[in-house]
Amino acid sequence: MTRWGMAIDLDRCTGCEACVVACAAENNIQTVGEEQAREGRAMHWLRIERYYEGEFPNVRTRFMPVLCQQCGAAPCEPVCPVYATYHNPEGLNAMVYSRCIGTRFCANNCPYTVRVFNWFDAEFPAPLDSQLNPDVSVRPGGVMEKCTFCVQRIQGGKDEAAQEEREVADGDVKTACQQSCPTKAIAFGDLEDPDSEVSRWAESPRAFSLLGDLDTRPGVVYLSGSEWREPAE
Amino acid sequence: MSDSDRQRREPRVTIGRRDFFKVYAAAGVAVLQGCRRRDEELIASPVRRSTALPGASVWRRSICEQCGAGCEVEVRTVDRLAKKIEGLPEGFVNRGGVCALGHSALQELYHPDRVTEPMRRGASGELEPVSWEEALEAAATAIGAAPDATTVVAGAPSGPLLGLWRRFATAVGAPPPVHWQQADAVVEREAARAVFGESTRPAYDLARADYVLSIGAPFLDGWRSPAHFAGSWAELTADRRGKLVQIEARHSLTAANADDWLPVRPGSEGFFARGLAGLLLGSGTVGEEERAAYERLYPEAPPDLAATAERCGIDQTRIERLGAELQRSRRPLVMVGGSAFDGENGVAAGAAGLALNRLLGAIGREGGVFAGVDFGFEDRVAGDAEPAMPPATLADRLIGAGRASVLVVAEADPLHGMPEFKAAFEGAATVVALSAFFDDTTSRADLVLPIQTDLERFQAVEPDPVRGIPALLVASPTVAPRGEARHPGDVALALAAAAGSALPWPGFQEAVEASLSDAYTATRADAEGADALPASLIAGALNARQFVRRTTDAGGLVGTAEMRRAPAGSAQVGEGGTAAGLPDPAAMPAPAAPEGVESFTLIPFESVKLGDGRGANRPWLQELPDPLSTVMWGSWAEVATEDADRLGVRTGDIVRLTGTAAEIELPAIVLPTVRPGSVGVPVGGGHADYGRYARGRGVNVNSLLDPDRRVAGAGAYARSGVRVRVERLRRPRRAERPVIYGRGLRQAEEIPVGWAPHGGEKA
Repeated sequence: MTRWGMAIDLDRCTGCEACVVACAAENNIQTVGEEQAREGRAMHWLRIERYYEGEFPNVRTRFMPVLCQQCGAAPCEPVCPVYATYHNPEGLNAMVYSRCIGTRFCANNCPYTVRVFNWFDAEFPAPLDSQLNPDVSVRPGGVMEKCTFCVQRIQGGKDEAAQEEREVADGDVKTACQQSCPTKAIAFGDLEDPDSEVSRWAESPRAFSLLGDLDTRPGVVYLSGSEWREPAE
Repeated sequence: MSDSDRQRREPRVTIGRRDFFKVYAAAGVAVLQGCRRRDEELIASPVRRSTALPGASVWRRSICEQCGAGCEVEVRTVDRLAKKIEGLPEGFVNRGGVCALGHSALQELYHPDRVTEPMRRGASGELEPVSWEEALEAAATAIGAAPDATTVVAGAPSGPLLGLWRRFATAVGAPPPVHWQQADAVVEREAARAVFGESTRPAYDLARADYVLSIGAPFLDGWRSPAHFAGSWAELTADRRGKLVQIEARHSLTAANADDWLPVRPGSEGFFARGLAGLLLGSGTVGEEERAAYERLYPEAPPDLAATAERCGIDQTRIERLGAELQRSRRPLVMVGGSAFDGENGVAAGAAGLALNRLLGAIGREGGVFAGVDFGFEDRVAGDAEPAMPPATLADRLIGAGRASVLVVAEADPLHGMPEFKAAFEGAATVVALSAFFDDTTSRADLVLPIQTDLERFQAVEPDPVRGIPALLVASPTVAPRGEARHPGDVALALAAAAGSALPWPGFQEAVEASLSDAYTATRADAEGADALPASLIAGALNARQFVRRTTDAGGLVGTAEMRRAPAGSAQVGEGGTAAGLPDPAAMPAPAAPEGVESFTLIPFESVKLGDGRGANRPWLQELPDPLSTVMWGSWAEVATEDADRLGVRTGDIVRLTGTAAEIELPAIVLPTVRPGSVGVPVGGGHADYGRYARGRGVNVNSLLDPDRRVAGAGAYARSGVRVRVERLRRPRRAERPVIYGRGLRQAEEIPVGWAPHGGEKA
C-alpha cells in the first residue's frame, strides 16, 4: 500500500516563497484581503516560518516551510464530530468539504496550525476566476481546509498510469510546491517504496520530524545539517 | 403471399463491380472535399483552433517577462484559459524554477482592473474610450507637431523590443528613447567598462565556484534571475561544498542564506573591496601577473586592515578570516550588484569589487566571471538608430532646457519610480501611455493604449546574462488577448505609420523574423563578419526562410558553452586607457551625516513580494508574507533593535521618516538583523492607482529619493545613501496595524532567539 510522503531539505530552502504562490495557484486558495488577514484569517496551506538566532551582527536566519504533516496519528481526525476529516488508505488526512460543519475542533487540535477556516465565501472577481483550477473545488464559507498533498495531481498520476497499464512510478506525481522550487528542496513520493527519492531522503542522518515528541508520525520529513536547538526557557 | 412470391416481385438491389467503384470514388471525393474545406477554414482562421477536448489540459511553452531574466515556462491551459505556470525543466535560464512574481503573471493576465480598450482624456478631464484609429491618430498628431520635443520612455529589457523603440524614435524624428531600467544595470556596465575594458554585464559561474563573495548582489531576492541563481546556489552549497559570504548593509534574503554575512556600513562596499585587496596583496599568495594587472588599475596603496574595519564597521578578525578563506579556496568568485551600485559612488565601488576577480584570477575560468554576451538582436532590429539613454536622462528631458512636450511611456511607470517628476509630467502637453494597467503614470496620461501581457503576445527575449551564453528566446501567444489589447511592438509600428514614418514591418513578429533572416544572410555571406551568428547555429538550414521557421519552431536560438568568453578587454587591463580615471573608493570621503539631527541611512530594497512594484497589483503577492519581516499587505520600516530601544519604538508603532523633500509614515518592524543607524523600506508600495489591490496600499519610499542625486559617471539615480530622520509617532490604530504573518507554531515575531520547533532528535 502506498504511503504518500514528502521530504523538505531545509539546507536548500532559501525562503523565496515561490512554493507558497504555486500552492495558491494550484489549489484555488482565496486571498482574504488586508482587513481579514490582520485578523489572522489568511488562508495559506503552506507557509514559511522564519527563525532568528543570535544577535546583531552574528544573526543566523532559518526558514522552514510548514504545511499539513499528513500525520499517521493525526490529532485532527478523532475530534471531528462529523467525520469530515479522515485518514485515507494512502496516508492522507483527507477532508470531505461537504461534510464539514465548521466546528474548527480540528484546527484547535492541530499542533502545526496548518488548518485554515473559510470565514466567508471565496471571492474571485471576474475574470480572476478564469484562472481557477478545474480539478480543485472552491470551498464555501464555513468550511475548514488545508494542504491535500495536491491530491488532484495524485489522482492524475494514477489515471495516467492506468491508461498506460502500469503502476505509478516514482516521480510521476509532483506537488505544486515541489515543482516550483528553484533549488529542488522538496521530494515527494511513496514512503513505502524504499527506492523512492522521498524514502532515500527520509533515511538521511539529517532527517527529523517536526515536533517529533508528539509522536504524530508525520508524513513530512525535514532534513537539516544544522542543529535546531531546544527552546530557550 | 408466399416468401418465394415476395422475392420475385421485389426488385433486387444489385451492385456491380463498376457501380461499386463509382460509389467508392464519389465518397472518396466527398471526404477529400470535406478535408479541404476544413483545412482552408483552419488556415483562414486568425485564431488557432484548439484540438483539445473540452476540459483537457494543454501545455504551452511561454517566456516569463515579469523581469528581464527570460525564464522559460510551461502554461497549463484548459478551454483556452491559462490555469497554471510551471518552470520549463529544460529552460535555458531557470531549469524548471519559477519565482513568486513569475507565478503571479496569471493574476496580471486576468486582473479585473486591466485596461482593455484605448482611452483619451476628454473635455471633462476623464479618460473616455475611443477607437484604436482615433487614439493612434491623436498620438501621431501630437508627436508630429513636436518630434524634437518627444521623449520615448521604454521599460522593455534589452532585446528586440527595445531595439524597435530605438528604431521608432529615429523614424519619427525624436531623440533616442530613455531606457527605464534597473539602475544597477547601467552602473554595472560602467564599472565593467572601467575594469574589463568592455561595457558588459558580467556573467557569474556561481555553481562551479567554491567560494563566493557577493558584494551587495541580492541574487536570491530578485536580482537578475533569482530562479537561476537559486539553483546555482543549491549546487554551490550542496553537501557544504562551497561557501557564500554576503557583504551588504541590509540583511537581504541573500544575506539570510549566506554562510557568513558582513553588514558593512551603507556606501562602504567599495572601500571594503579595496581593503580586502590590500589584505590579499599583503599575503604573498597573489601571482605576479594578477598583482601587476590590479596595480595598473589601482596604483595607490590600498587601505590597511584597521582603516577598512573602521570605515566599514566590521570587526578586523572577520575581515582577516575572510581574506584567509579566499586565499585557501581553489575557485573563488566575487559577484557585485545591488547596493554596491546603488550609491552615488556606485561605479567606483562596483569597479573595486569587480577588480577583485582579477586579483583572484577568476576571469574567464570555470567558477569565475565571464562577459555577458548576446546575439545582438536589439541592435539588429534597431538598425542605425542611436543607443537608448540611461534613466537619469529623463530628468534632463523633463526639466532641462528644450523640455519634452510629448511623452510616450511604454511598459514603464516612471512616476512611481521617481514621484518627484509629478509636476514635470503635468507640464507636458501630451502623455501617451502604453500599459495594461492604470499605474501611477498611466492614470495621469492623456492617451492610454492597452497592451498585452506576457501570455497574450508573441515574445522575443534576449535573457539577462546569467550564464555567459548568448540566447534569443522566442514564443508564440499562449492565450487570446483580452479586449482590444495589442502587442507594444505592434503599437509602436502602428504609431510610426500613423505619424507618416512607417517602418518596414507590419508587426513585431515580422520585425523579429526579418532580423533573423538578415542574420542568416549575413552569416552565409561572411561567417566572420560583425553581423554574423555563430556558424553552427545556421548549419542545416537551406535558406533564410527555413532558418527563421526552424528558429521560431524551436523556441529561439541558444548558444553553446564554447561561446562563453572572458570580457574582451581583460587581457589589456590598464592599457589603452581602460584604467584611466578609475576613481579609488578608498580615497573618497565618508558620507557626512547632517549635524544636530540623529539621522539614519535609508535603504530602499526590493522584497520578493512586490519586486520593483510591478507585483503590487496581485492579491497573491500582497497577501504573501515577506520572508524576513513576515509582513503582508503594505509597507514597513525595518528598524534595528538597538535603535528601537533608544527611540522607544516597538514593532507595529507608526514611525515617520523625514527626508529633504518628503516624509512618509508607516509601521516599524523591529528586527535583530538591521544594522544600527540604517532603516530599510521596501519599494513597490503606495501606488496612486494600479488597480484595487494596490491602490493606496502602503507608502512609496521612492518619494524620499532626490532626482538630483546621481551615480557618478553612469546616468542613473542613486537609490541608497539618502539620510532620513526617524521618529516615533504613536501606537497604531486598528486599521494601521501591520499585518504580520506567523500563524506559528507560535507567532513568528515572538519566537525567542534560539527557539526550535522540534524535539532536537533525529528521526
